[in-house]
Amino acid sequence: MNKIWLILLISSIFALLFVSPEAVMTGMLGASNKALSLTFELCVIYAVWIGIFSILEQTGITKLLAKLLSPLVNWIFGKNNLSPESKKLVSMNISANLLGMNGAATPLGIKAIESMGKENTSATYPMIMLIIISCTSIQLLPTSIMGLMTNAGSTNASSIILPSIIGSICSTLIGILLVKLCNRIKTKIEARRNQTRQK
Amino acid sequence: MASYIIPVFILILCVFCLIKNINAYSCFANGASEAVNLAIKTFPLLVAIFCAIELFKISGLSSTISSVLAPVFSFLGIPRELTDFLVLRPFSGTGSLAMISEIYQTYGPDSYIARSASVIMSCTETVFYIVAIYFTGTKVKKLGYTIPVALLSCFIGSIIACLLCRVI
Repeated sequence: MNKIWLILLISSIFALLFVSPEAVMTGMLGASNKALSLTFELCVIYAVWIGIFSILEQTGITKLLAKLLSPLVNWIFGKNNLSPESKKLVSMNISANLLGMNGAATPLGIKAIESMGKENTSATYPMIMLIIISCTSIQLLPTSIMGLMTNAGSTNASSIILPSIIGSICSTLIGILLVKLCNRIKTKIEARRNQTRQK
Repeated sequence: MASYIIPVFILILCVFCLIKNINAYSCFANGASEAVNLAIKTFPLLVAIFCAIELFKISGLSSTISSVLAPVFSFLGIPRELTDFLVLRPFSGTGSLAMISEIYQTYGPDSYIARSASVIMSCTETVFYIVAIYFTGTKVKKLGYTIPVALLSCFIGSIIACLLCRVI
């Protein structure tokens, strides 16, 4: 992230130097302003959703959900990679994503990753997996976009439901397989490195 | 239909708590108190990303990149008109939503291009935002293969989306 951020900044500022150097500072301040208002918005969304989750936790529904989804979660994340606590949060994050509750998915995702290792300095396999699943979100009903289409005068907005479902399932599956592949390559490289070190 | 999911879900939850005599009120308040800390932790990250993305957009770099990528994309079956949209998608959620409204207006919401854009929008996510925000609670600095894999799977998803819109 550090490198990407620096490259983005350097190249953009360099390009702006030739066009309008005064836009750099106004742009950055404007963007921070947007970030601040988004933070307030997120704070409110987090408060409501984490509140609801604490109730769910108390009722034991989260445990039930984790049990229901455990075959799926075990396949995706590997059997022994997750603690029960992480499993619960991951199952809830996946279900929130499935139902299109984006506001709910984010705080759950943050908490799930926190539960996988607060002190880690490099991303572990389950962390990466969860991020990829969220990035390629399977959606059963793309409601917000269908709303936008209808507002723009579409007569057949529901025609995108089927391609959206199939497309997002494909992208999620590809993502999961890619992470598994990368993880296998990574462990092989590390094993080889260890072997040479032992020699 | 979808607008009923969340209200009904919360309603059932409340009724369940009433029957089981669970102190939902203090649970809710306890949970909500965590939100402030979470939001404070995410704020600096949001500022950092938003600054970089804003400069990226106003410097015209995003349009330069998309003009370079357009022939590659159209070779892979993604319409040329969607290149700008696809380049912006992993960086900015609101930006790509604004762009999608523009696409609806220019090409009509039932055109092939508009439908492809809609399906791409629901198959992909703002990758950089998610990556930055999700690690808020940890000290993770090294991301390994996270970003390349995320971008690649979203990109393949977009190709599939365009294909599907042609068939269905």
